[in-house]
Amino acid sequence: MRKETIRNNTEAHGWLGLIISALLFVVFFTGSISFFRHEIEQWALQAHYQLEDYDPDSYLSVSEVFEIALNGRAYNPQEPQFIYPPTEAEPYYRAYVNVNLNEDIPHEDYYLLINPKTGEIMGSMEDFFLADFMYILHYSLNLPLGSYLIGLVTLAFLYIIFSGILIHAKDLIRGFFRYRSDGRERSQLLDIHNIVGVISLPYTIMLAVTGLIFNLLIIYQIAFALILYQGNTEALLSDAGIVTSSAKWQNIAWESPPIDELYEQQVDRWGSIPTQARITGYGDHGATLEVFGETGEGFNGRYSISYNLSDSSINYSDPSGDPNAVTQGISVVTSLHFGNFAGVDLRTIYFLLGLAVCALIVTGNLLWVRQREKTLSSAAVTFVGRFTLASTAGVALACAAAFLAERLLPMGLSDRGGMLVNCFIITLLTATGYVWMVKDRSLAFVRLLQSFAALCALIPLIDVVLFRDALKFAVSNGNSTLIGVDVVILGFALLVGYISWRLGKKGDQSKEHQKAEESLTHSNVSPTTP
Amino acid sequence: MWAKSFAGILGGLLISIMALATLYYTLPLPADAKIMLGLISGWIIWAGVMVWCYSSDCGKQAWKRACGGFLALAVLNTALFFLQS
Repeated sequence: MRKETIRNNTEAHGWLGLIISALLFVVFFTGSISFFRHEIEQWALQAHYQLEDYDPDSYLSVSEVFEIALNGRAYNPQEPQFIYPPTEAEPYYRAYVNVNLNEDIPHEDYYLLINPKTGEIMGSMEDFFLADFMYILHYSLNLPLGSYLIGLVTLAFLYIIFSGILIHAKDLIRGFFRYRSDGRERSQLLDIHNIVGVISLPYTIMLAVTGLIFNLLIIYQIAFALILYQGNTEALLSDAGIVTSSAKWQNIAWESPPIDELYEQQVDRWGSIPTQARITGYGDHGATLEVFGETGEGFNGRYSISYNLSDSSINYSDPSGDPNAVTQGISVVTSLHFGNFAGVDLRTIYFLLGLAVCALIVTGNLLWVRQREKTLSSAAVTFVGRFTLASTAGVALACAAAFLAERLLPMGLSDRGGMLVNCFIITLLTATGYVWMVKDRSLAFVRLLQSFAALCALIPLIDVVLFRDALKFAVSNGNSTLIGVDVVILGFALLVGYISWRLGKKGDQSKEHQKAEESLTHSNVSPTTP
Repeated sequence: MWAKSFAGILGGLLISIMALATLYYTLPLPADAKIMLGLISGWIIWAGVMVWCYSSDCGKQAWKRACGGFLALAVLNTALFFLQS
C-alpha cells in the first residue's frame, strides 16, 4: 500500500476522531450504562415503592387496567394507548396515555405506574427519568434532531474504524501482544489505543452499523423509495413488511370488546406474558388491539398480532407463514445492538467493552495532542487537553450527579425528571468551568476523578441511611436489583478512587522530581552568576 | 481536509445509493432480502468511499474519485434499468 494512503488516513483518523470525540464519548458512556436500563429503572423505583412478589393470578386484567389508566384523562381515542403488563422483574402495570394535545395536561399524567392488584395509580414513570435520560442521551443527546447528529457521528466513527484497520493492518496481530510498559508515555498510549481497538473491533463495527441503521435509516428509505420504487412508498413499505394498525374511527361505541380473551390467547399460545398491549380507537367500534411479546424461539424471537375488536378478525400477525427478511433482520439488528439475547453475562461484556471504547477515545485524543505538541501552538494544545478533560471526565461526573439526584430529589417535586436533567447539565458546566480555570490539567483530572468516586460512594451510603427499609425489603424478598446496582456503583467508587489516588501520587512525585531538578540547576548555575 | 471530507461524505452517500441500486437490480433475491442487504451494506460502502476519498493526496483528487465512482455506477444502473424494463 502507498505510504501516502496511510499518512493521509492517519491524518484524517486523528482529526475526525478529535472532532467527534466528545459526542462519541457521551454515546459510549451513556450507552454502556443503558445496557442496564431496566435494572437502573428498578433501582430508582424500588427505593420508593416496596413492590410485592410477582403473583399474576391476583392481578387485574388488561382491560381493567386500560379503563383505570384512561378514566378521567383527556386521552386522544384515535391514537394508540399502551399497557405494559407486569413481569417478575417489574411486578406492576405501566400505562402510557396518548393525551389530547389540545388539552392542557400536566406532563406527569402521560406515563403511569399502576398497582397490579388494587389498580391504584402509584405515581408517574416520568418521575423516574434517570434510566430513560441516559438512554436518550445515548441516541439523541436529549436534543431535537439529535438522533441525526448522532447518526453522522456514528458514520464518522465507522470511517475511523476502517481507517484504523488500514493504518494498523500490518501490526494487527503482532502489535496485539505489544505493550511497552517501560517506553515513553506516547508509546504506552499508542499500545493501549491499538490493543483496545483490536479487541473491540467486532463490537465497534457491529455497534456502528446497527446504530447507523437506527439513526440514519431514513436516508436509504428515501433513496430506495425514489430510485428503486419510483416514489411508490407503499410498495416499499409492503416489501419491507412494515404494517400498521388499520383502526378506522367509526364514531360508534364498542360493545363489550373481547380484550382479555384475545390477550389471553397470546399468553396461552406463547407461554409468556406479552411485553405490550396497545389499543387504537379506544371505545370505538373500529378499535384494534395489538399484542407484542417474545416467542422464546430462535434468536430473540418476537411476535406481534393485531385484532379488530369488533369481530376478533386478524389484521396482521408476525411471525407468519411468509417471514419478511427486513422485519426479521431489524429484529436481529436490535438484539445485537442492545445485547439482550444472552442474559446479564453478555450485557456485562458489552458494558465493559463500551467502557473500553471510552478509554480508546481518551487515548486517541491524548495521542493527537502528543503528536502535535511540537507543531501546534501551546494554546491549541491546551484547548484540546481541556476539551478532552471536560468532555470525558466531566460527562462521567455529570452522570454520577444524575444518579445522585435520582436519590436525593424528593418525590412529588414538580417536574422531577426535568430537575434531574438540570443536575446533569449544571454538573457538566461546573466541571467544564473548573477545567478551564485550573492551570494544572493533571491535577484537574485527578480532582474530577476524586469527585466522581465521592459521588458514587455517596449513592449507596444514602441508600443505607435514607432507604434502609427498601434495602431490607429487597433482601427479605431476594430481590437483587436494588442491592446489585448499589454494589456496582460502590465498586466503581472504589476503583476510580484508587486510580485517582495513584495518579495523584504519581503527579506529586513528578512535581517533587521537577523541583529537585530545578534546585539542582540553580545550584549548578549560581557559582558562575555574578 | 474539508474538500476531502465533503467529497467523502457526499460522494460516499451517492456512491452507496448507486451501489445498492446495482445490487438491487442484479442480485437474484426476493425484494425484502435485497432491502435488508442494502440496509447493512450501504453504511459499509459509504464509510469505504470515505476511506478512498481521504486516501487522496488533495481535495481535487478526492472529488474526482467520488464523481468518477458515482458516474460509473449511475451509467451502469441506467443500463440495468433499461435492460430489465
